[in-house]
Amino acid sequence: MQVEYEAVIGIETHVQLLTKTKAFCSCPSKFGSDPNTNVCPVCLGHPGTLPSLNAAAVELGVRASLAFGGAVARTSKFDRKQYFYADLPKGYQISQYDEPLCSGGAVEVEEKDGTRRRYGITRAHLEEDSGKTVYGGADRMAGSEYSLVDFNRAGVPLLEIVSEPDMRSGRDAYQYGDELRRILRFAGVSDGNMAEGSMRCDVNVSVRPKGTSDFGTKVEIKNMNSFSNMQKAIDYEIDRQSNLLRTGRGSEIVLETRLWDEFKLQTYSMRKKEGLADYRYFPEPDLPPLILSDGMLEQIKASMPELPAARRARYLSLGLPLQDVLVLADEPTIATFFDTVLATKVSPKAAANWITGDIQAYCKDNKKGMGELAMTPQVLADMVALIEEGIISGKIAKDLLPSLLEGAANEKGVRQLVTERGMTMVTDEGQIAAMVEQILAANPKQLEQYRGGKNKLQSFFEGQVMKESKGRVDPKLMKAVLMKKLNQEA
Amino acid sequence: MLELLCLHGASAGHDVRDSTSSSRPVPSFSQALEPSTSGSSTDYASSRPLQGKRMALIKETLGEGVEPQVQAAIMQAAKHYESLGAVVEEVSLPSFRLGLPAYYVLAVSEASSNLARYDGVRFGSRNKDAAELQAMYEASRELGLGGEVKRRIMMGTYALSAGYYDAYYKRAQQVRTIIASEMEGALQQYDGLLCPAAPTLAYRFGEKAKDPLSMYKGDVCTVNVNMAGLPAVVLPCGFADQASHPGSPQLPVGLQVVGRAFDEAGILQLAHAYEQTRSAENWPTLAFPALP
Ligand SMILES: [Zn+2]
Repeated sequence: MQVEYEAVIGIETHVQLLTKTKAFCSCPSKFGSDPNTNVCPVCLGHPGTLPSLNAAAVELGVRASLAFGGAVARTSKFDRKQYFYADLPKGYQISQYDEPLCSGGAVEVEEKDGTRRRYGITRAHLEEDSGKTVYGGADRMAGSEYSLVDFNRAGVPLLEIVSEPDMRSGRDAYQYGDELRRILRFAGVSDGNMAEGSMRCDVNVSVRPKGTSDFGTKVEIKNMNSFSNMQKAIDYEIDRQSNLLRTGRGSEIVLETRLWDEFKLQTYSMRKKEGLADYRYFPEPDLPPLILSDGMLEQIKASMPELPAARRARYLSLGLPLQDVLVLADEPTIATFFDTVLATKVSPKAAANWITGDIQAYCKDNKKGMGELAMTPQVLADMVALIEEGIISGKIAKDLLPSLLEGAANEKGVRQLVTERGMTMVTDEGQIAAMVEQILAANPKQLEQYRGGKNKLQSFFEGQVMKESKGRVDPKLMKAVLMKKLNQEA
Repeated sequence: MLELLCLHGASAGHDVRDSTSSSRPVPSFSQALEPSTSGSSTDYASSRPLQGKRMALIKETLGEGVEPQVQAAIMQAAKHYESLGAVVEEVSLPSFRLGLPAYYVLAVSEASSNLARYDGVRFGSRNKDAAELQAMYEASRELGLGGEVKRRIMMGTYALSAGYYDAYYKRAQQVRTIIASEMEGALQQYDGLLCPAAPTLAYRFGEKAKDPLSMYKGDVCTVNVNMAGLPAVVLPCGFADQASHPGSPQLPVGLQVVGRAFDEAGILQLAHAYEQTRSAENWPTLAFPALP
């Protein structure tokens, strides 16, 4: 009988906290500046300088912990993790070892069919980032002629979130990472931008015969710049390890760090790990214990925003379909936009349709986020209201939307714009009747066929009137008038 | 003491760039010089200015391992304090001598970490001949660091290594806690604890270079102050013959006065009173060579 294998996957996620300044000095922590411009004696590790903790980093760490339901430690401490590397200016990283800021928590994911999955979080702790090594003459260390270090990132505050080994497939890992990122973005903790490195996932993958409880030898995978790459890398690695086990070559699975090559679609070994690295952790003598006051904790709790799961539940309770809800609660900017429209009391369903349909398509085409739209939420609300009041038709709204998205009605308002452009609905029965008669007169052949029994031609006439009126006639009234005229004996 | 007081007044208090500095308000130190010394020092001495003060000699810093002439000078100073009206007793701090080994474990551990940045990348001299990073580290540190520094880095690295941390670093921290609580306990009864600054007179330059342990032993009286986070002041309390170098000039003996946490003013007052009234007998005038 063939042995079935299952994978055990745990993820360490490094999240860059959205502080203005670094963790232990007052340098800006922004991305994309010229190399070595956001540096000072503290983050460069000049002899004699001392760290002073950025309270904003602590606050964001606490927010993250509360967001994924972890227990926030009232007292935690900082430690030195010591190793030599050119981009580590002090020869150690200030981190938290045995008394982390947060213990426990979970990321809960809801499947499209309504079943829930829970991925546990072991702990989360604060630490500082290292600098960035750039290799000259090659894209990695091997074969390079020289290397340069950019210390702009050195000292930027990170939260390392360690998951339980609860995932079994690349898809599980994708779900965990995707929802964790969403939670952190809604909580305002991080922008979660994987391409810029503000969210980095290191994945541990091991494989064991299904039904056993011991862990196999774990392999670490790094260097995945998106969750879909992470999913592919994990699935590749599970296959690789299972095949080795299946063919009696299990000893070839060794403790090592592998990197994902997104072009060859495979992992390759970066370095073997010889035993466990000894980081010689010890308490950071330059920093006192981190003590959170009742006041600070209460203040953070009170300021927690609505998180993705709660938003999804709220949107579902408005009667919106899950498919729309997932889009609306995917991004803080979309959710905020939608909520602002909702506050004007227009129909949630209508607002959701416009956002998930035409507006999302526009964003995609123009590579814009909802936060970058020129159109204000009020404009969308007004447009929906005008449809609901029967002042414009849905067809007109669709035509109008592109200019609204460019901000055409931000100043004067939709109502004014619609009037100026003569787009208001024609509801005068006499006016509509005249239009209908004109169309009937212009299409005598079709009229004859209709009257000869070809009822389907009704929609042809409707279309012609709509076209003639540029979509402005009240469709209900027009249909009624048309029917009356069509069925009149000639 | 006046200069010391000025300096301390300027440096005391919270430093925003040092998170380990206390943020409690800094008291005025001017009363440390009270009662006033205006008038003759004989009048001042006979006014028993330290009436009501309680002091104690630390038993573990006297006797075995202490040069007799150092001990004699300290006992003389204790008598002098009594003459100023203070009560001077003896107090036993059983863990006191554990402070030295514990201190060295902690100090070298921190030093090994603090000195990691002298790796030739940004700090320290770089050996440019090395072919790759690891070799560059090794060659640069071999080149740039001195013998005593290397010794401390190696001891500290060892003490912090996996499997040894509990036996060394953690245990030293436990010893530190015991020492701190013992000293704080004694200071509930006494305004100042007295001991020599060092168990021997100053040794000659290079004399103990081959014997670092005996050099470290010279710190036995002073390290506990840092371990316990207490203020202390060291002041000259006389001169003594160098037993191992007969005929050489006499060398100064230091008296250490240890006070309660944040009671710098209290020990400065004790030191000031001593300084104002000490006997001029056997106190050589120091002649410094003129500056070029
Ligand atoms: Zn800085």
